[in-house]
Amino acid sequence: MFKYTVKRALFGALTLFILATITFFLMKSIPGNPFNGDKKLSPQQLAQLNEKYHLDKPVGEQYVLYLKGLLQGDLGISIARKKNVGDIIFKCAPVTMRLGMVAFCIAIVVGITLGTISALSKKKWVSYFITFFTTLGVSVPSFLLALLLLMLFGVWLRWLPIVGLQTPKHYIMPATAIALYPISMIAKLTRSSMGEVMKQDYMVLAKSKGSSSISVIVKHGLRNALLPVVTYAGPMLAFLFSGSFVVETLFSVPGIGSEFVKSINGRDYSMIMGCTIFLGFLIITLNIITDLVSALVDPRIKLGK
Amino acid sequence: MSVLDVKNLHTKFYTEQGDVQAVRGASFRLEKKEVLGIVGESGSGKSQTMFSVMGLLSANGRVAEGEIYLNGENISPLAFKSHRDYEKKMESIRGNSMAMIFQDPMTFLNPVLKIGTQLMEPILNHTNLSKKEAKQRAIELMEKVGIPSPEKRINQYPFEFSGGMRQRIIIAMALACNPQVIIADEPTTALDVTIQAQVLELISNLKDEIDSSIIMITHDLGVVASICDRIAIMYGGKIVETGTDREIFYEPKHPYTIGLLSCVHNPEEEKKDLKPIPGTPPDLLNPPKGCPFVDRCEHAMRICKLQMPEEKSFSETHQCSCWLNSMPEGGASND
Ligand SMILES: Nc1ncnc2c1ncn2[C@@H]1O[C@H](COP(=O)(O)OP(=O)(O)O)[C@@H](O)[C@H]1O
Ligand code: SF4
Ligand SMILES: [Mg+2]
Repeated sequence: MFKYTVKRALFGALTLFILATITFFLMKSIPGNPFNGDKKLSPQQLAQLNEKYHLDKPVGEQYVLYLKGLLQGDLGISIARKKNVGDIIFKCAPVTMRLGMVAFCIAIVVGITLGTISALSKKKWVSYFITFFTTLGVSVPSFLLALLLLMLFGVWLRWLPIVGLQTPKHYIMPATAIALYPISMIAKLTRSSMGEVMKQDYMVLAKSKGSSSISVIVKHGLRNALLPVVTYAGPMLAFLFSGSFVVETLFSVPGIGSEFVKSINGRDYSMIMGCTIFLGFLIITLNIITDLVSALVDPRIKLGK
Repeated sequence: MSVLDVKNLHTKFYTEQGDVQAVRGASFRLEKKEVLGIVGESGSGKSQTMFSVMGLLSANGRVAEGEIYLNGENISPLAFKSHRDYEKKMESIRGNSMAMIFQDPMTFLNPVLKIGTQLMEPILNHTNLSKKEAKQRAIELMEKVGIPSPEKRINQYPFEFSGGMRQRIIIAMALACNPQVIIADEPTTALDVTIQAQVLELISNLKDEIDSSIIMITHDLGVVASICDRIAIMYGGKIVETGTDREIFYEPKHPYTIGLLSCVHNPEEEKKDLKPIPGTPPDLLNPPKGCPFVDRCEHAMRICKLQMPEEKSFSETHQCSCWLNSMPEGGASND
């Protein structure tokens, strides 16, 4: 297991390097630069700025300089914010991650519960209703839901605060808006795998030992039914941790999602690179963790084979 | 009093094509310390009869009629006011006074739980033993069914066991609470031939050691010959003939029994010359009104198609349902 993890980490580092390279050159291949739109700058000032951020050098040299910095843990200075990119990310990423974690927990608990109820309910309308809800949930874009919630509970009813994430109450709307899609996906996954598991022979044997239906379902059923959910949950968490530009903007959440999109719009090169590398790192790490957790849940999975 | 007495059991499955009448009036008794063999081709309703007794039918299955007496108490789902009452009763019975051994050891063990966890379940369900004591008991059980180094094996997962070893585990689970009745549903069918013999030998040794009565289901008369006291022949959802092993082997009455016997009789003389009965079992969606065997029977008469044959007794232990035996003298009109 340890050897496997190390191997995966090395591969991850390589992937990250390739990601950084591709992003770097793609970014440079788009015409224009951060100071293009700024009419107030004199040619001298422009030249100065270009020199300061190494923008006057050939692209190859810029790339080498950037990698050198990266190896020392230096992500450069944000051109727009005049601050260290690393510092900005370490300030806004936790905000997104906290919100993402809340949404993740909601998605796991609600999704698994809905999926299980839908698979087991003897009443047809229950599973129809849940299927309807989850189908809606995967098709409604999060910005639409966010807007609806904002209007309804924030503006008209005034039940919930609409700006920032200061108190737990602040989390309700943005977390719900982000969680709807994962809730629906997890519910669908759980429903289909639970339906499959209920037909398995080992469920009959478990019952034949005198265990109650609840214990058979929880102890023997869920554990097996959740294998596909675990595989989905890791990448989903990575997705939630990348933040949603729309939701973060609508609720004025200073997270990495809105920061990333702003940096792209402003051609803030070092910020774009920083965000890309950070998010790439998150995704790779969470994928490794997912595989480790899968192996814990399913003893048949042999890592590294 | 019989340990288990099943009377006129009917079990149906509701499907999109219609009602599958898997069991159509099966009756049999199981006496104390007896081994009863239930023999019939695949699809004759053997498993579903036992699943009905244990209350393990799949969601679309129902016991439609009949009584199931365990020690004189009717435990048919029809005898309970609500499904909840029934389940509550059965939870106290399953794995405790009645246990079941299943056909395919590859699919009946939970792939993600340790062998020990699964083996301790019936013990923890039905006794007051602590986890530690239950584990000790599980290790003893594993020893009893011939699993080497049980202390180590108990912490392993099913995929680390061979088919034969898994079946031993399932047998150990069934033995866990010293049940009065053990139902073994084709316990060797899914195994390799050499392993089959070993598992059969294990069961045959165990039956002398334990106090349980055993129902041994198989589609192979050869399997039951050595260990069963009595044999019931099942066909088309009914028990068509019952008798002691001698009666079934030496004085078979039902043409179906005779057909089955011709499949096993001369293993030494001709190696592979089995003579399977031509034709296929009846369609249980639209079962025949009369004798279920009529389409395949050499002796079929007109009445066989029209009316279910009555059961006739040849001795206290030997019964058969076939018009050949119960027709009044000279009353048969053959055509
Ligand atoms: N869940 C089910 N739905 C519909 N039909 C079923 C179901 N389970 C079993 N049957 C039918 O019941 C009949 C008897 O099956 P079974 O008792 O398993 O036979 P055996 O054990 O003698 O081979 C078969 O025709 C089978 O197709
Ligand atoms: S009742 Fe008729 S059809 Fe059925 S087994 Fe006897 S003779 Fe054959
Ligand atoms: Mg069967």
